[in-house]
Order: sequence, then structure tokens, then C-alpha cells
Amino acid sequence: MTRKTTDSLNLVGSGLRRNDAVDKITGRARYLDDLHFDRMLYARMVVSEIPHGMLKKLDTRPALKIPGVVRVATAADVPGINQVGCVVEDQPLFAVDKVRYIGEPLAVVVAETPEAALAGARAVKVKIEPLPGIFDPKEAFDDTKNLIHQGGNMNCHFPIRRGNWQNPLAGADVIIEDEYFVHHQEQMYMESQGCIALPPDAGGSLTIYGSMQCPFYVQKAVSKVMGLPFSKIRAIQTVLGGAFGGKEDIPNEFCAKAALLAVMTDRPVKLVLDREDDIKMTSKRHAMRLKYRAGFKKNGKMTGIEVTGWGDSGGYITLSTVVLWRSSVHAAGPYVVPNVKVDIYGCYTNHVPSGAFRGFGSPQVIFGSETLMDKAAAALGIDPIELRLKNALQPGTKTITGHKVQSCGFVETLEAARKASQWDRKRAAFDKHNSKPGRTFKGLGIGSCYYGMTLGAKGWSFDKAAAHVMVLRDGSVQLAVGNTDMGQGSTTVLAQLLAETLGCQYENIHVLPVDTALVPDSGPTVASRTTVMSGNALLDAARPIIVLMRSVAAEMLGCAPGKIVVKGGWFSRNEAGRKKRVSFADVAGTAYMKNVVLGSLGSWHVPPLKYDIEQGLGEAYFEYCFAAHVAEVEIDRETGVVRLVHGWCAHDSGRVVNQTTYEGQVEGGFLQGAGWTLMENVALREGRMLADNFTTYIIPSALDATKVTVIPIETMSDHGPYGAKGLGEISMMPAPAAVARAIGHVLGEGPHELPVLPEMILAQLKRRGGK
Amino acid sequence: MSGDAMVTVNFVLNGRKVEATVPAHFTLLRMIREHFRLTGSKWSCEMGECGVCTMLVDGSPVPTCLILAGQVQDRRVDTIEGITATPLGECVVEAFADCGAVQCGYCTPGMAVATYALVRDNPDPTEEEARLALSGVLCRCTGYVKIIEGALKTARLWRKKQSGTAVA
Repeated sequence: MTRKTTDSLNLVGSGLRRNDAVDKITGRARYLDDLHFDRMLYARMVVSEIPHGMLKKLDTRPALKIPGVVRVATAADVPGINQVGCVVEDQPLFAVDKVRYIGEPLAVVVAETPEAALAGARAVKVKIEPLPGIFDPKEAFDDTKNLIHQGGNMNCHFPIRRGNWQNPLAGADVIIEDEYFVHHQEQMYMESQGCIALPPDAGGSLTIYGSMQCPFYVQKAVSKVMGLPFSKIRAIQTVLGGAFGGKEDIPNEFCAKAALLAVMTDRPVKLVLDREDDIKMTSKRHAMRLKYRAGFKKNGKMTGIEVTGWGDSGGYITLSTVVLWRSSVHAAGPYVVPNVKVDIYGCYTNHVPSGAFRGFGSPQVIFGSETLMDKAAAALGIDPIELRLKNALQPGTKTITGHKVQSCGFVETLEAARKASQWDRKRAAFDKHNSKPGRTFKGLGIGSCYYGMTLGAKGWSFDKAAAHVMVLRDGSVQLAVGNTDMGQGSTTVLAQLLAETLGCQYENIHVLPVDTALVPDSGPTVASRTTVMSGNALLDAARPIIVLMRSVAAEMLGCAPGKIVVKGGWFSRNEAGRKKRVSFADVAGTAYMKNVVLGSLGSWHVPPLKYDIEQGLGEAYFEYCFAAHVAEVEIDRETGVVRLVHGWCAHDSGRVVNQTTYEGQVEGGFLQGAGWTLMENVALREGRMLADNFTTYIIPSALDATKVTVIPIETMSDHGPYGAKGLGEISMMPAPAAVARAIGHVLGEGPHELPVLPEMILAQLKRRGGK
Repeated sequence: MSGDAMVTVNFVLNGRKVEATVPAHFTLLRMIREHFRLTGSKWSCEMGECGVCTMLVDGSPVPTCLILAGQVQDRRVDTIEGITATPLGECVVEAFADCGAVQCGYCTPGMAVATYALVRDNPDPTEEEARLALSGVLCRCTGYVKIIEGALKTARLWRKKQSGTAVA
């Protein structure tokens, strides 16, 4: 582990202005719905309104009688394979015999106007014979008769067996047990899903524009459905209006449908979901039932843990088998536990599929493990942060999978959050405040976690990135990477890293739009991986260019390449008393005239990981990030409504590349996590999500938001560019637990469920004879 | 909603007199985006909840997905494209970019319009006034911290600009 000392970085670490900011403020940035093509048709999906049943009739002829309707596509029209399962092939593009959730696509109507497409979709005659639905993952797990798919309702199982796993609580002085239920969360990106497919061009290639995180996923999915080679599918990412994981694999389904209709009609086809359809049809954060048991010594040392979790996959697996593997590795939190038995199951239900959402299966178990820690702290009479410190992962200690951690500033995050929030003083003061009459209760809670960087052992084969760097003859630079900016600011951070490395100016770097015909595949933009993966790839690409430019500059300055210093757009030769220099642009221009090509393809992949998936043991991820959030809340004693007062968020994500975007990620992550705890209620009834727009699915507004203090702990990574690790997800992950624990500070017991709504808080206050 | 009935509207768009004939069921937002092809103001919820389509109608910030195109007859409509070209709008752009108020950017034009209206009417708002003024536009990325900072910085830049003008 290396730590930041004095360093001479120019650009990395500063809060440079985002390179897309002005375009986005002025409205010049073009999002998917802003695009328009001549002769464009509008698509509308026909979906199942029954959560589980047999498709008996699908008559599309009435739709074709609606004025303006041009075509209707069903499974029968698919030229390739009627399959969009991303990891496991269990999901048809269009249902053929069985339907497994409300919102499952049956057909697509295209028409001259959105109105005609809607009327056409409503005219399609559908008959579905209902089957009994299953809406709870544990019930699905236990049910061996009502099977949603052949082969059983359990679709994956991830165990961890470490130490005395048969009896992990043996020898403990105190045993703590608890059960939790975590409901779904909706991503609620402000821009709903959408795409536009163009008709085949002269060479038979298809072009698809889309609001997508992973254009190379779309290329693969459309290729399969259309029966065309990858090279003939061009996926272009438009400016993304938020994604949070929701646009990882799900755009595959819409892009494939639009592409099919564009081929069938030979016209551009726009498929944009309105908010209700988006919520109905797209994946959520997994709901999860969790059982925890842990053993502690009297001194607070955790000796063993047993975790069983049932994740609600919904009707199809989509990404469950990767999401829930992450749940298993993170199940015990960022703590040292020698004896471990973890079992995480994925279970089919008749809900809309669950999939990727910031944190990817970890916020649920973090809520579990952090609530359990507080219960243990109370039982042992130890302060919650003190108990965490006693068990905290530190450099050289091992995670529950037996992986020795290297770069680890977890203890520092706990200490920093404690100090900044004035934890010790406030906890005592709030206890006193709460024991007296008044309008409010006050609570202070902590949530802490670790996060395994990038895809991990289970996704190792996909964990590579490539970057192409081209220095043009005027000294401006083009950077092509396959990772997308969905709002997190990756084009800014990557430009900063490249400018720092080449020694040129930040403004000189132009990051190309992500278009599968122009940029190399850098792997999916998920798992907080872009800064590290594409960052390392662009460093690799820059290396030979630097060598070439130095040698050109050396010739220009009449010295050896080793004598040259490159900084801020200048190549300088330093000699006693005299200074000579040439500009970056002059070197690029001279290189051009000397026929020196300043272009290079670089790559990086995650180091090999030894992991035993049967036992859940070994190197789960190549590196870990750490965080501790403290939340302060006030609870109205009459209404149970919780007001956020402040968040203190300490993060070890290695080197801070851009101070401003770093803070932005954490501030936004904290509120997104707090929103889930306090108000985001999907209200699923018999497979139907009753909260299906902004009126019923409430997300925090500016009036709910609060001050957030961001505290970076820069524990450098030996792997990441300039020591950086990842931040996108961990910025959100501990927040739901921290806010829930602040409420728990007031309630004493629980909460055992997320979200924890005012009526639940009031009921609990009443039960304990509310003061 | 057959889309057959058409309506002709005369109004002032970003300072210029315009006329448009659009389907009668078109909202103001749809007319601006689809007829005039000014796509800076975004489309999202269509129920007046999220605020990303906010424009100024006769100077007031309103969600334009709730107004029919025909309702702006003889009125003044200012979109993000028009607003950011004004002296105060330039302050909004500068302040938002500087404070890191932008992430995905989808709510940003709505936030910028709301900020413009706030600072025009109240050049020295408190943080609470800024929060209230921006609460009609939802953001899922930022936690609002840097947007509020951006609104307050807009006011500072605007006051500075105005005092500069006054002296000159």
C-alpha cells in the first residue's frame, strides 16, 4: 500500500470543469428523444397485464386496421434467435407460450405517430390464461410445485464456506440474530429508456442510437436477434440522462425490437418509453429477504457469521447471477470474520426482473450487516463505531472469502466520519434530547461498507478495457474508449488522466462519442470500473506516444530525450542558466512532417484472480474501496416523518482524480440511498407496481436534500491510474444503512425493513409507548 | 386524440414573433420540441411532476407538459435556448459549470430556467429560497448540493455584473 505524499501532479486531483457542462446547461447536448429522422416511425409495445399465465391468443390484425399503423412484429418475425437473456438464455424477446411478469413484451406496433402506435397497441387482442403467481422470493424458493421456469424456482446459489462454517457461532459469548426484508428500488433516471434504429444501409449494416450504458452489449444482442454478424451492427450511445445500472442490459431488449421493425419497414423506428411503461418493464434493485446470525466475544470481536438471503429475480434472470454473487461476497460487511457460512439464492418470482442498480446486490446486505452490528453493539454495551473499529478490515487482514486486502483505508474512514459528525458528543446529546418531551426525536447513525472493484472473479473474462489515443498534427488529441458517460463525469476524468499523462492541456483532449464503429470495446460501463479500466488502458496507449514525442522534441531541442521535461503543454530542456522549450503542438506538427504516427491502441485487464466459486473462497476482486457514512435525522413525533439533517461521507476510493465530480458522486449517492430508506416505495401488489410515475414513486426533491460533507481518504491503489480506485457505486451503498441506523438510534429496535415509511415509524413508536 | 384537429398559434418565442400550426392536442413542450425543433427543454413525465420541461411563459417558470400549445396565443415563451443567451442566462451557465451542478444534465435546462427566474426576481436569495425555487425540478444525480450552490453563485455573478454595468 502506498500513500499520497507530496506529488507533482498538474491536473489529477483538481476540480476541473466538466467538458460537457456547457452543452448540457444550454440544451445543446442531444439526448435520444432529441433526435429526429425523416420518415421516422414510432413504436409502442404490447405487454402482458397478467403476472403469470399461458399465452393463448395474440391477434395483431385489429391493430393494422387503426389508421397510421404500419406494421406489428411478434416472435414469428424474428429472423435470428428470439432470445435476449443477457447471462442465461431464459428470456424471449417476445413471449411465445408463457408470460412471467406484468410488462412482459408480446408484440410491437409501429405507426406514423405515437398516438396511432398507442391505439394500435391497445387494439391487439391478447388472451392469457392466468396461473397462480408467486410474489415473494422465499415463497418461490420453498414452492416446488408452482414452477415459473422448468427446472425450479431457484436460479442461482452462491455459498461462502470458511473456517468452522458448519458451526460458525461455536464458542461465541453472545449470539445476535435478526431478519430483514428489503424492497425493490426503482432507478428513476430522469430520461426514460429509448432508442432509434435506422433501416439497413447499402452494405446491410444496422445503426442503432440509444440511451444505453453498454453499446457493445447492444451490438451482441441485436446480432443474435437479427442473425447478423457483430461487424454489421453499429450501436451509438446518445448523451445519457442517467442510468444507475438501469441501462446496462435492459436497452438490449428495446434496441433489438427497434432494429427488427426498422428492417421490416425499411424506415427509422423510434422506441421511447413513457414513464409508466419504463417503470413497468425495466429492472429494479432486487428485493431481498435476509436472515442474519452472528457470534461475538464479550470484547466485541466477531467470531462467526451465518447469512442466508433470498433475492427476488423476477420473471427472468437478466443479471441476477452476477448481482447476487456480489451480495454473497459483501454479506458480512467490511469486517474480519474467521468462521463464515453464507448462502445467497436467486429466486424466480412473477415480478418484473430485478437487475443492475448502483451497488449491484450490496446495499441490501449492507443494510442487514449494519443493522446487525448495531444490535450487537447494544447487546455488548459498546459504541457502534467502536464495535466496527474492533472488527474492521485493515491492510493485511482477510475478507470473508479469505482474500488479504492491500489498499485499505477503512479505519480512517470510520475515524473521519466519527470526528466530522461529532459522533460521541451528539449520540449522548440526542439520547438526552429524546428522553424529554418535544416536537422531534434526533438520531445519528452509521453505515459502513466495502466494495470489490470491477467485475470480480466471476466476471474476470469480461474485465478488460481498450483505449485508442491519437495526437493530431495540431496537437489536439482524440481519445476513444468504449466506456460511456451516463452523468458520472467519466469523459472529464479520462480527459484529465490523459492530459496529465501526455503533459498536454486538458482542453486539448477530445473524447469521442461512444460508437461501436469508432471506439474499442472497453467492457461494460458498470461496477465502478471506468476510471480504473479505461484509465489504465489510456495510460497504456499514451506510453509509446510519449516516447515518440520525446524523441521528436529531443531532436528539435538538440538534446537527449531523457533531458526533457513535459508539462502543461511544453517540452522543456533544462540546462544550467538556460531554458529552451517547444510546445506540444509544435512537437505534434513536426512529428507529422517526419512521418511519425502518434496513435496507439492501449489495453488493460484485471490481474488473474484465484477464486473457488463452490466454496466462495479466494480473491473475489482485485482491489477494494471502503466507506463510512454518518447520517443525522430528525423525526417528527406526531407524524413519523423523517427529515435529513446532515450526511458525513468518508470514502477511500484511492486517488481523487477530479475533486468536483468526486464530491458530486458522493452527494448524489448519499441522497439516492437516503431516498430509498425514507420514501421510495414501489408498492408491488400481485405483481403490479402501483407506484408507476413521479406522483406515486416519490424521489427526494431539493426540499428533502441536505448538506453533505465529503471526506476523501486517499489510500492509493497499486493498480489504478495514479492510485485511483472506483467511486460510482460505493458513494451510494452505505447511505441507506446510515439513515436507517439514525432512525434506529431513535427507535431502539430495528428498522428491519426498507423503506421505513412514516407510518411504520409511528406504529413502532406507539408500540413502545411513544414518548 | 385523433391528431387531426389542428390549431394555429401566434406567440413570442425567445423574443421573436412566431406562428405555428400543430395538432390541437399538442402540449407547449411538444410544439417547441417537435415543431420548432428546440430540444433543449427535456421531455420526461408528462404530468407536471418532474419539471425538466420548465420554460418561462410570460416570465413565469412552468412545466410545459401541462400547457396546451393553443394556450400560449399572444403570450411570451422563453426556452433554455433563449434564456442562456441573455446576460443573466450567461451567469447561470457560468455558475452551474463552475460549481459542478451538472451530472447527467437531463434536469439541468429545467434547473437553469428556474434559477434564472429566481435570480431575476430576487438577486440575493437565501439558501432556503433557492431550495424552494428549485424544488419543482427533480434531479436524480446530484443530491442538489451543487445545484443549490450554482443558483447562489448565479446570484453573486449577476449582482457583480449589474454593479459593473451601473458603474459603466
